[in-house]
Amino acid sequence: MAKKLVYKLLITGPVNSGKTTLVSHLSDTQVAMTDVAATDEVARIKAMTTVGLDFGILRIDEEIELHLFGTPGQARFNFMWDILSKGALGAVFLIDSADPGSWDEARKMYDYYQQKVRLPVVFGATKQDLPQAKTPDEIAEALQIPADVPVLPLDARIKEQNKMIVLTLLENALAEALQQEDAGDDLGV
Amino acid sequence: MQPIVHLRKAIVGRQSVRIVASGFGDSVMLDHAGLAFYGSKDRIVANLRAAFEMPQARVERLEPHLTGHETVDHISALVAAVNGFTPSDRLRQSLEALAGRLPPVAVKYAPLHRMGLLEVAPYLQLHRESLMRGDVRIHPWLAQAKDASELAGRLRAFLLCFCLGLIVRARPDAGRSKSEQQGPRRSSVLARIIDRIRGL
Repeated sequence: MAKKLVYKLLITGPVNSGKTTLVSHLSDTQVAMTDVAATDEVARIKAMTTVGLDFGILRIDEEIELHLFGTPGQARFNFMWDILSKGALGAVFLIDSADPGSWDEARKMYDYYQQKVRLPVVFGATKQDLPQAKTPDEIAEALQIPADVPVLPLDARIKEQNKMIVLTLLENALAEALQQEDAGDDLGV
Repeated sequence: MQPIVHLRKAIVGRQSVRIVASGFGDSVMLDHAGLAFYGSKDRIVANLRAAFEMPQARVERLEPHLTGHETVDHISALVAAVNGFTPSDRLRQSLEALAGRLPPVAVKYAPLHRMGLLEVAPYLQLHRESLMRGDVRIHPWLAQAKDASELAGRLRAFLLCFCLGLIVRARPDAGRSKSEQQGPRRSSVLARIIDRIRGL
């Protein structure tokens, strides 16, 4: 059997932002999760948290597999980017819109990403339905996200919305790939 | 129409060029390098609006010693140029003709409202149609405008997206090519992954 071509999609963001759910929605295999009982300050937020990786596979066709990695939601695990980014198509950063306390952690993760990884990225602002939630634009400003990086509202519980945010990331990556391959003459005009 | 096509090529290719747009006994220059135009924002915006309307253009090599130090990033400059811009009848016809020649396109997302775009709805509508269906045809989309005001908004969105390279050919060959000895092209891989996710 021919060896599969493997590409990666990275899902990241602070604790409790919806990463595990997004990986589950896009995988067509059983998702391997490494959740454990939270013991540090995370325990105030939720009982279980990811310490290794969430991992799922989406089979694209007989030749290609997309491997989905949900990375731990703490900046101290940033070193994992160096490994995971090899062969990656881009990253989805999820931000809890109603928890500004987690944004500092998100900023640290994004700073590291910008310096070391520099793949296409899109931000999903989750939990927009909560009364204290900030808008995507407020989050973009607070985190000083560059103006050309999309920050979109996202309900991570809804599969269709998870699909849309990943499609936004990949369509943008496709547009850039086409323009590089065709040297800006992709439309034939 | 030539200035618009050259603008797109300069921006997408990050070329260092001087575009000299001309017509109707007048001409304007746009100096572009990397991600920016050279000059003051007011001057660049005025020249962009004039260039949109001009029929001819030529491209010259940009001589760095002839440019100033002041630059404006091309997204901010083009957003400012289309904000409140009303295309003439001649430009409207040219843009419609250009749209008619385009293949089905995909529309890339950029948070243009954060870069100062005042009229975001036509652009977002175009992007959403592209995202939901996989591609969109610009000419019928323009023709579906209910009145002149809506058409002007759609023309501004098209003009901006075209120049910034937010509009790209929608479907590269998603199938495998026998000539792809080194593995599939990145665009082909992305297109196949996009198709799969859209069908989930």
